[in-house]
Amino acid sequence: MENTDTYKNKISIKSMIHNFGLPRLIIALFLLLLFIVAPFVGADLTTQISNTINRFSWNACLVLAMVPMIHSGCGLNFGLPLGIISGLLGATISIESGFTGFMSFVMAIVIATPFALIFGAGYGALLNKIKGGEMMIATYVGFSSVSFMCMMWLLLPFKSPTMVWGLAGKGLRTTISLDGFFDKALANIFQINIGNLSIPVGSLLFFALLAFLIWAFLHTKTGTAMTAVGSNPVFAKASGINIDKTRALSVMISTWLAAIGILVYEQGFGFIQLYMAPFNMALPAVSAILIGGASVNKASITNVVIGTFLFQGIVTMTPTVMNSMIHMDMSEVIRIIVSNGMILYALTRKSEATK
Amino acid sequence: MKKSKFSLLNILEQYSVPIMFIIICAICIPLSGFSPNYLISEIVTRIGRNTFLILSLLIPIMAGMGLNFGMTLGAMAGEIGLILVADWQIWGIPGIILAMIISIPISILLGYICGRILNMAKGREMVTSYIISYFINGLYQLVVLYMMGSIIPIKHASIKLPRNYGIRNTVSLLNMRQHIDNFLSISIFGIKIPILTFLIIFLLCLFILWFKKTKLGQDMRAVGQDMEVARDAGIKVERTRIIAIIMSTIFAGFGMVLYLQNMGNLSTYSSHSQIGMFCIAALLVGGASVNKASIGNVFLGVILFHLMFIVAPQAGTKITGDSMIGEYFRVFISYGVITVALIMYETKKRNLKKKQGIALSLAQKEEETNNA
Amino acid sequence: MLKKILFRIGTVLLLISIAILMCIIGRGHTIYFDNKTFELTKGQIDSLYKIEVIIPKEPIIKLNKRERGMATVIGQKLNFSLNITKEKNAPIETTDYTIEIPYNIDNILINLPALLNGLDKNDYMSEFIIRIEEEPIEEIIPNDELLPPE
Repeated sequence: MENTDTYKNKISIKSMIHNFGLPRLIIALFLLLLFIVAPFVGADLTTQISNTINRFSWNACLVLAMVPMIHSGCGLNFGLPLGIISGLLGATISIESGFTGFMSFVMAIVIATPFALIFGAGYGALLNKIKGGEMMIATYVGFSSVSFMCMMWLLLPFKSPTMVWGLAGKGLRTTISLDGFFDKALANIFQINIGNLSIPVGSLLFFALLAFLIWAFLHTKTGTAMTAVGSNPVFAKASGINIDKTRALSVMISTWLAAIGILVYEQGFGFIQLYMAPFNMALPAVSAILIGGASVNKASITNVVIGTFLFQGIVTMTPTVMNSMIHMDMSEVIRIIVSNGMILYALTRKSEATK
Repeated sequence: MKKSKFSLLNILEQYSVPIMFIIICAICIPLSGFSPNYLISEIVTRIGRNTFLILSLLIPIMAGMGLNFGMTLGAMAGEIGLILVADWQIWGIPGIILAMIISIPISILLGYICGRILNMAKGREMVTSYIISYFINGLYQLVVLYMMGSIIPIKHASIKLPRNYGIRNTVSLLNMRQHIDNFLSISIFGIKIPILTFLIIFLLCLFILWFKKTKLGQDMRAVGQDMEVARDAGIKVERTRIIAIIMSTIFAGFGMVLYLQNMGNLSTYSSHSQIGMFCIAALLVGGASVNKASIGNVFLGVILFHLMFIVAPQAGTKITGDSMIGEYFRVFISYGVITVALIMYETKKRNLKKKQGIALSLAQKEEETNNA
Repeated sequence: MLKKILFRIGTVLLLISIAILMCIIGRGHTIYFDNKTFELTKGQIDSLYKIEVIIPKEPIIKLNKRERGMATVIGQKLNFSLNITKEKNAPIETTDYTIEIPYNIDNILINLPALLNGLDKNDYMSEFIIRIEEEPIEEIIPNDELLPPE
């Protein structure tokens, strides 16, 4: 009797680990370790925590953009740059049109939306033609569009003095300050400051709103159809669901969320980054959601929250703690290894996601 | 079934990417204003520099593993070899040979890891090799930025960072610069032709042709055609795939050493980062596809791609008056060509499956009517 | 089976021996030639009016009094000849020399007057230590940026 009891306990611990995901466990423990060590090496814990929460609020939306496409079986959205470009177009056009303050943020969203939907529709049609090879092509569609836009940023007739190169008078600058525009637009709505700890409740509420919308959407008829298309395409087709249309819809939603996501990121970061900056924004979002426990064909909102928190936590904590401890800044290299290793892990699994 | 392999439409379709490129070059060359002499000598140099690297991509395609973005791993192995050789002050051609020899065990190790991971991600080889190259880049930076100088002894402070460990941004390869290129070079009409380099490339081509006929080569082609059929025929599929990647990585290592000896300068942290992407773009421009590539594709590709690379910035400047446009244009074309090639490959694959499915259902219907 | 293992070991040994060979024949040194007065414990050896150093495949180094020249050499043996003009308008004398260069030292300084007076190798040959000036702190930010190549 004793033996079977301990045996059952062993199974449940093992299955608990399996459910939580071994890599996720390792990363969570690592982050916990960093948090514990931080005060001992002189890093101010409250500043670090507020930094982490701030970065979480910037990035969570971009990670959220991964969810619809994973659900519909289009894989990891390496083509995130396409949505990011829509957001950038929204932001630049909004500023060019003369909006300032919070209004510029709202108008940026409004202007970005049609771009995102159009780009998303085209991108979705493309992905429908190439079922099975989405991820690789998504990456290169993303790259091609970013480099195409690099040319466009130089050629499009922008004139606003805050955005254009001073001497030549034409062509957008690489980094555009949002001071006076929508810098901290969301964060300023509602910010709690307890001593050193500052929590941008406004941004967090915005993310929560979007997350709730997506969650609600996934439970509607169209949303469940989307999940069916991803997890069981044969059943979906048999039930009369139009697979292509559903997939295209998921791509459009994903692209739109990415546009919003970059706007949220910019309001937190304080700058619009053009040209080659969007190049590298897909991989962190992808690895964040994978760290959160998603897999190539299954993702939930919980994955988004946990994943973004862990990822941003590591990105924030590692430099400061390592610097104070061994005076050697290995953080970038560690970030590269961890985030790419996570994606590799996901790509080599054929199994289900963890909750 | 009528096989109209040589119909004009088929040729146009198969070579659509090179034809597009020829059109782009035809427009840009006169615009750029470069003299033919300059263009030809630049192309000859670039052929010598890049062909070996692009040839290393052929073997994984043969084995059905798609475009090997993991050739960056071989490039990193070659770079580590060169850093060590530069530190040990071994100059000239002996230094180049030594760097290649040092890169071999590193390439084997990295290629083995890459092959193992790719075997775990069958069907997604290209994305996986793409991410592997980033991942190993992180490990490479870990070694070169932190371990070299501290754990791995580096003698010369001129290579190390001021803080005494980690390698500098650039390592000068002045003492072996173009030693292979200059060794046997002749000048025709003022254009320098590096005979030894071309000889080395020619040897690799011969090797590849010979290899295709060996048992291992035939095994690889079988695995590339159909993994399950090959497995049933008794071929060790996993092992063959790993060997294909290891060979590709070793050749990429040699190719990187050749590339860098021509440049004369090693950018420790960025030389290898785009080499995979641009070599693959060049191969695709030559008319290769994800599952079919020949030596002809390599040469056609390197000429067309680098021609575009040279003339696009100038042409862009002349058209729009902004010098950056041309630079971005050539980056856009490089990425665009890979995107188009990948899309064409995937659509072809799906169409083939569709046709097979239709043929199968037709055959089944026939059987039914026969049995009825 | 045995043949395979032997073949593999043979290839590895061959590569290692080629590598070692390359290390030996490829070792590069920078040689500095001084036409400077050499201090002895008692007295000194004066520098000469003009010395020309001729090394095969390198440009001729002309050294007036108190000048220093540089040449790069690959390998362990250095063959060179000197055209010596002891005083102004004196006849030119030519001597050939072959020097073995120690493997471990990168930069070697040879004092020619000392060499010409038949002094010991330890006297005329010394290691040349290059002082590296303080360079600005080079920041390397590791990244996975995608930049176009040259």
